[in-house]
Amino acid sequence: MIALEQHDTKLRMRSRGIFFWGGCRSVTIVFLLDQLVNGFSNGSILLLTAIGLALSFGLMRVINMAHGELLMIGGYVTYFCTRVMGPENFLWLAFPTAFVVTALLGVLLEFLVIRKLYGRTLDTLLATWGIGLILQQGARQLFGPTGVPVNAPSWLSGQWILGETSIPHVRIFVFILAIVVLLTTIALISKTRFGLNIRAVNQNREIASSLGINTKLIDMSIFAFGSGLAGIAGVGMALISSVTPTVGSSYIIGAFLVVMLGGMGSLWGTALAALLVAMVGAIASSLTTESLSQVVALVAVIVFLQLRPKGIFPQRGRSLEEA
Amino acid sequence: MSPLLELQDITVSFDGFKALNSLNFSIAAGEIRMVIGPNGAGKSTMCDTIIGKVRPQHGKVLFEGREIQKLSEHKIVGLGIGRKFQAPGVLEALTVKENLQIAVRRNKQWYSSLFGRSATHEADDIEQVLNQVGLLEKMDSNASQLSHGEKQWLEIAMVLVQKPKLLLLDEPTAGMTAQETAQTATLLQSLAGEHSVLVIDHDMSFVELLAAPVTVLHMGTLFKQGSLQEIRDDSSVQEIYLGRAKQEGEHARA
Amino acid sequence: MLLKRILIGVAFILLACVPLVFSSYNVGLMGQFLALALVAMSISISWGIGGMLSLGQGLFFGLGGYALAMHLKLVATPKGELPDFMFYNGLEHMPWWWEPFTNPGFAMCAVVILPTLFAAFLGMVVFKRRITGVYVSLITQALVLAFVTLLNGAQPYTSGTNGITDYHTFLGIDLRTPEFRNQLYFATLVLVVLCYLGAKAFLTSHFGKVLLAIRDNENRVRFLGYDTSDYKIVAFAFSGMLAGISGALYALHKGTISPQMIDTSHSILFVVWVALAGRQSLGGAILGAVLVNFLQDKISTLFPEGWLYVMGGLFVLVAVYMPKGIIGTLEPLLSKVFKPKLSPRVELQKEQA
Repeated sequence: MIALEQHDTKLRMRSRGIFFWGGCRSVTIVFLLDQLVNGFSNGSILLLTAIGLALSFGLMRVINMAHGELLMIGGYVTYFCTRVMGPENFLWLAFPTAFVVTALLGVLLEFLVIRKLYGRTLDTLLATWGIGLILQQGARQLFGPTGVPVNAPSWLSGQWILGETSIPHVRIFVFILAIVVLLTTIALISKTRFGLNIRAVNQNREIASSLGINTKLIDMSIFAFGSGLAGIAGVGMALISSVTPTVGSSYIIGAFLVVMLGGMGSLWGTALAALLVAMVGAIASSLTTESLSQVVALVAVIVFLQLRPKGIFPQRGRSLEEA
Repeated sequence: MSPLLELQDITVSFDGFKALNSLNFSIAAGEIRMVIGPNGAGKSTMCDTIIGKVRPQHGKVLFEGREIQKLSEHKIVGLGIGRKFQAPGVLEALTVKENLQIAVRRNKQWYSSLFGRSATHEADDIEQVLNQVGLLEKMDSNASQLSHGEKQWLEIAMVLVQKPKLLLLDEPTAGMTAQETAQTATLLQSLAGEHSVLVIDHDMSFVELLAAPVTVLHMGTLFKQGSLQEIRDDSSVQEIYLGRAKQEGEHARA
Repeated sequence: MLLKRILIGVAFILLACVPLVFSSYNVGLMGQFLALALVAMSISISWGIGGMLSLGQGLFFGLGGYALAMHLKLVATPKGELPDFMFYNGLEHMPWWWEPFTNPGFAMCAVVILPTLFAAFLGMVVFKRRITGVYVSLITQALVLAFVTLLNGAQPYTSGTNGITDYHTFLGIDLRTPEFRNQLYFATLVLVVLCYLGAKAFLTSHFGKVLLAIRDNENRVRFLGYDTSDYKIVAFAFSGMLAGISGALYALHKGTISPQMIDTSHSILFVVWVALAGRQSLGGAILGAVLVNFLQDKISTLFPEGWLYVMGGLFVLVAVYMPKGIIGTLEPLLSKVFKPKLSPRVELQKEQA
């Protein structure tokens, strides 16, 4: 709770607007550590969001702007699970339900819209943005514009005390969740038969197709899987912030920058990029205000892309010029 | 006499694969040269390196005695090197004439094309080059409406109209009929003396029509150089072509 | 081509007749739409002709809008006092960078120069590094997000989410009278026509042809000896300038400018206006902006909740079924009668670009 209280004071100071440029606040080590912990958990959600995007962009050249809204839906599913299962055990229901619900939505989306747009990356961007708007407005009408709270179960509401600072268990949980999802996805792509088919389709669609791989089914399953991951990310997100109709759009742009920074489709790169962006944001927010730190993080990514226009781990044959 | 273009000890590698390996090559002013070699010998990479599309890890590219391997692409072109790519790269949204207008401009800075007028000699140059490649009647057609062979010629015309000292032509006859190929050979021969021409081609009938000195590349280095007759009779050249075929045959069986 | 010119001429004449026919309220509305048509035109230039899709056009629109609104706010503030929002937020002195905006000449120069310079700078950063396609879109989107976050966060200096409001005079003229509304409408129309003609001249010059060629095959143009990034930077800066002028006009019409008017969703909405009518046509951009805004006005009065669904549907419709837009779909039919301008195959390649 210490972290939260400090956060509150910070907010109050900011709302007076006096310390906007932040020069007056002294930066203590404890405060910096708190920011880093926050950074880690924000980075975890960013990573969870970005993995799905990296899949759909890296493998299918689809820019899915509705990904954030799938995250939001994952959040609302979590909220419903708390109503059904009670405050202690809802997570066991939330993860599979959120995954299935958003994956099914992904299937629907792929079948109705994305399928018609392969090879037209910019049009996928526009179309999915429109779908995002529709989903947002739907959520607004169904659940109201203000957020619904999801409280972590009691076994996650403690914290790990480390000297003067402390780390809430829920943030550790989200961090572990991100790592597990990352490793599972990498294993799925690099170790399984399904992953082999995906890579085959990605490298040469015609040959893969002539070898008897159902490329349309592969496309659909990648998209569904990526969407399902957004649902999982939504559960994690619900644990650390409240669920609102627009919560997805607050993650989506950052997540895309992370994917770009990672090298457009490299999952390890995406992970490293999420960590970097979150850390830059955390350090900046301990020096200035929250909003300025976001700006710093965004600009830092763009500056980094100046140095390495193809991202941290550029994917072979996928230069920035191509897209 | 010093050569017009000289590659000194050029090495280009992609992810550890050496596309060019200590390649030395030169071409004199006014000379026509054929470059042949099996697939993957580094022919296109050589052109890419000259024009600045690919940067060598090691070695020098000298054009008229000046090092150009670090210059940006448009500056290299500005020195007088024109390149025709393997896939026809005409500008399909524009007419044939507009394609050439873009190519012919002397001053290619943005402010000049925004405020400057086109010089009168430019129109004459365009007409002349269209006459040369036989596209005069199609001057106002859209480039997208040309046949494949005509697109190849248009692109050759776009290179020619810049009056470069050195022309790099990557498979100029691909997709052309036998007659068109023969016409291209005549056209290229008429350029010799005034321009240096470096031609990459697979089509042996074209190589024979052109009857120019031949350079053979193999595994990124210069393998043999000589007259067409010498190269044809060279058993080692036959071997690299055949050997490659044999290897590929084995792969296919495996 | 002649038919097209006549159509556009007639359209402009009809627009000039608007104040004679419509009520003052509707004239004001139409004026707003025309102001927005300029930002649509700017996107048509950078995207339709130049192949650079900016999802952050709100950034340049906002720079222009805020530059003028700052001046208007200072005029509306009694001498020697601070603008109200600065006072409420506890500022004691006017920030130095607000001072010069007291001068209307400076503010109007800033409206043009600020967005142009910023777009040129951004263009240099992006295009010199050969960043293209969807990456340009995502970077510009992130930048507009950063800009809006900054505007919202720096409340004492920018009035935050409320935006700059409560200004009523421009060069000593009261903005709220019906006469001024008509005058402003005509001024806007004249500016739109001038910008349209200017942009046409820009695009029909040799420069425009090179730009079109770069969009379709940048490498070919580069190896014809052009520094293609220079061309893109200049076109992008020109586009930024038009967006800035658009923003300033809009601030004048609307009587306020706020971060919501330029944020990521608005910036992408600008794009849809252009996409709906046909991304390659300047006249189409004007049509698209006016049409969609008119729809928005009507639908959101009738069904306040429904507009976002319509808008979302519009995005999907345009992207999936009408990638060439209304004009791009109709033009082949028209030009069958006259002269074919673009073959379908080229169109297809452009869609994929």
